Amino acid sequence: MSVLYDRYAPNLLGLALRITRETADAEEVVVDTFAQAWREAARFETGRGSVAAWLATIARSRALDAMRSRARRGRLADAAEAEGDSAPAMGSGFASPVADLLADERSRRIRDALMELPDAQRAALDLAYFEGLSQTEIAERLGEPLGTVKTRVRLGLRKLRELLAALGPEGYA
Amino acid sequence: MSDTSRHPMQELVEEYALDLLDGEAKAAFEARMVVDAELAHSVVASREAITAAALSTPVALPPGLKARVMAQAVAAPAPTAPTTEAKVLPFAPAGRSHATLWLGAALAASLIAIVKLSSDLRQQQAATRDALAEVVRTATVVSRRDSMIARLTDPSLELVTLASTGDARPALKVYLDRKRRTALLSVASLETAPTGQAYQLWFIVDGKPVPSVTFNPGTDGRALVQDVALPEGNVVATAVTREPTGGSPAPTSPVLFVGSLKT
Repeated sequence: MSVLYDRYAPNLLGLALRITRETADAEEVVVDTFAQAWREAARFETGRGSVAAWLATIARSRALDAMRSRARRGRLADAAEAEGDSAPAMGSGFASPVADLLADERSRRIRDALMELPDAQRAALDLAYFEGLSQTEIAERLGEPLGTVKTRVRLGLRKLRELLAALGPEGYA
Repeated sequence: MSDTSRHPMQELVEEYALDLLDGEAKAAFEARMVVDAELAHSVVASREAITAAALSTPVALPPGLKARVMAQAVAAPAPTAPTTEAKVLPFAPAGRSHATLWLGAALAASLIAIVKLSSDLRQQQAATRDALAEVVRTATVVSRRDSMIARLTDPSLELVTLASTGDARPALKVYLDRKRRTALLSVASLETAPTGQAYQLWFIVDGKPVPSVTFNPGTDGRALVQDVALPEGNVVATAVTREPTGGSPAPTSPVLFVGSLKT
């Protein structure tokens, strides 16, 4: 557990922060993620993806739950008001700089690859992944036809796969 | 030109990988994935790509988070391998063949081995949890010490050395952190208070003593009291008296040690 924490916690905290946008919530997500991973370690199957993907799936789900729970309590609206212009712009999650981003060559190259995606595709992926929106909701949010959103999601993720494959086999796994 | 060899479900890989499919579409996709290794592989590859992107913004970890993670993990039930319930077979009635008896004996031996392995596994899990608990305890202690060192090296910290009004040997120091409204009391070479009594710290605010914590040194004469709350108002001095165990709202005995803050 300690080894897993040392290797993945900075990345998982970054992911949780980008979804919840609140430090306390993000830290809670990381704690819960490792607790769940500890409980469900026996269910992990290497054939279904890497450890990183497994942990990220748990963390994303927890973070989205936390965000929805907060929204239900009405705090999200208050927080957005309080944050004002400092709130991350829609669609900026995959490419937004984080203040205390750690220096990491691999991460930098991945972020560079992300920047090669057309903005519209990156925004669609961003809303789907970090905000957990359905394609219909994304279409409403962007004011685009549903078919357009589906195409952007499909092309965006395919392009991302190609770009990351070009970086080599080294990954987070 | 389209690739006619691709199954139509391949067009939905990205949506499935992003959890954007639901209902019948999702069920149909998952059914196809069971028999289509290429499709399953595409899903894994897509998820790895989106994960790598999502994890590409590592941030500095706050101190203490690891201890929380480890504590939570230890508090959770230990991970268990999927268990298979052993089926209890009836003993063969008398008169069966030797082969049946040997088979029965072999099964019984296997069951004993399974029970033994199961017991060993539980013992190993318990040992792992104990070891993790020890790690967490150590991490917590180290984390608290790190925090204390950080506070003690804060340039804004104010140090008050309390001088004895009698025997000059004991050394009492109070480190005031006005920003966090806390103090740390360090005691050395102080004799243990008589039975039924304890030392009590006082903060002097507006010329009046405000009661604070009680303490008693160990047999080595040392004590360290952390996270002492500072009272409201401007603390100008600290003092120590000997009071009944539990402390007093106002001093009931002469001041043993006193120290003023530099103003």
